[in-house]
Amino acid sequence: MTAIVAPAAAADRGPITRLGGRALGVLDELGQFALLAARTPLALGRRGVSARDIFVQFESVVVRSSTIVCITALFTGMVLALQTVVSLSRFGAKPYTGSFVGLAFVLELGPVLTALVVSGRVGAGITAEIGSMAVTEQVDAIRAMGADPLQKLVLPRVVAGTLGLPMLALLADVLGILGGMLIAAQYGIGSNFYLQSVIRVVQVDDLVNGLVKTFFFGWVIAMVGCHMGLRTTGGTVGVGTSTTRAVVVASICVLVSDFFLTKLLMMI
Amino acid sequence: MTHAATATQPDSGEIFLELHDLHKSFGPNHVLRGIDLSVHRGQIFTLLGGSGTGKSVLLKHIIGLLHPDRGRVCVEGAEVTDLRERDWVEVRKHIGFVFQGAALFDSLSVLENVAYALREHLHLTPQEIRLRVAACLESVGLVGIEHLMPAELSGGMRKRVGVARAIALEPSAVLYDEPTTGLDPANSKRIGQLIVDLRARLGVTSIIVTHDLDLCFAISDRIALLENGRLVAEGTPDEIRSSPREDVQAFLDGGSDLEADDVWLGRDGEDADGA
Repeated sequence: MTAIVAPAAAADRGPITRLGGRALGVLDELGQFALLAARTPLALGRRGVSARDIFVQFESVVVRSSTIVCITALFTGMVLALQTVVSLSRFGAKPYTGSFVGLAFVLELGPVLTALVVSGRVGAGITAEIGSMAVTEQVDAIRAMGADPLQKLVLPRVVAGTLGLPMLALLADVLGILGGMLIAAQYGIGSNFYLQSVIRVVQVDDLVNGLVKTFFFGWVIAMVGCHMGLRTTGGTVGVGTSTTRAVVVASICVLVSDFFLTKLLMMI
Repeated sequence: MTHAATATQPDSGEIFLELHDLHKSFGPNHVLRGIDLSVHRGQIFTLLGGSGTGKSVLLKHIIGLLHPDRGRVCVEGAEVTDLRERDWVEVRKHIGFVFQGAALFDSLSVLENVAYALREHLHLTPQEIRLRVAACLESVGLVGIEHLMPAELSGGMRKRVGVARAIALEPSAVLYDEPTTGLDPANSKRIGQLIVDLRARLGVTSIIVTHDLDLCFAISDRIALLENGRLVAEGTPDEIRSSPREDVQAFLDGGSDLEADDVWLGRDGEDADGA
């Protein structure tokens, strides 16, 4: 009955009312997300978290994502080196290829590419799994047995996401730079020279700045995944919708926060 | 279907649950419209009503899975309406809940499912947990399935594992949401017998939401009928059977949803064709 009445009611509303309704919906979503984000660390303090649960999630985030992260980083490093070596040759700056690829990967490409790949693979997985549990009352069953879904479902995923993403990003940095080296060698840039130019230009601070961002990216991907999962309603269709939204929202959060975090880190 | 467990036993008179003027809406849908109800300790209380009348919603208010818009919920004399989520833990430890779709955890084996609350709240050795899980499963007629995953179980087995999980902590009350839906008559009878046995052995209070009139009249001490978010009748099985209210008799004559579905599936039409 609701489904029949709702569209008619919506049609009666003016554009300002509908806009207001949407704005309230967004505010409600943000409020719920903030509450979840605030309550999650409290659950850690209150009841702790099982090391086994974290280990299982860590395996899902790091081990099972490593192949796709490696392939993405390797080929992006190769194509970046290819474009760079050809472009820099026009200015006689071909020897700087290693420095350019190294900096690009360590500062931006490694962290952001890894975060986007993980948001697609792990973020979607988190939402689909928790969303399925929500629509089949499994989340309610956890509560009904006197356990805490934040402790059982959210905390292990957030801890694994936050600590796992930097490891994957480091792996991506290495693979991206090595991919660039393979291509550079074909254009007459020796491997030793290439690696020396990377080491000469890329500072430890650059590496740290790049990796610091990935802690936040991992946190936001896992939190958005859990939030969307827990809010899922509407059966299997709802799970699909939540999963898509989680990937979109997490990707946007990564890209937008990347700019502001980079700016912040430059000021420090 | 006839249940072996037809004998009822007087309850203690002590009130286990009280609901006062309970209201709940989901958007424009006003599901519960002022429910007043009390259930005594040790009682087997059954809530009848058509699909979508708010029976499951009412049941979820008792353990705080849903919170009322208005009204009060009192469990064992203490008001729990406004408890914080963390404070519900103590209440939930003493109340088992059987979900309509069993709600077993897909990623855990039957053993882990039934042992979930035991691991959460008791400090038992693995051997003690195994024994307790086996005893719970045996009481619902399941033996040697601890290693199976929920996906490997039939619907009826899942339901019975759900019951075993709800009684694992030996709660003082169990809430059943459609406990016999999808079960064959023999297993429906077994669940009915289990509910009566739990009361006889441990004094467990049972609150059952069901469409199964046979189960309802065989084991209940009191029955209430929910329609349009209001309790329209409440009494002993005999009082309900002999109720002068038309809506009560219409519900009892209509029987289960399955019978109603049979009409929709064309049984009437076939009869008409045949005639």
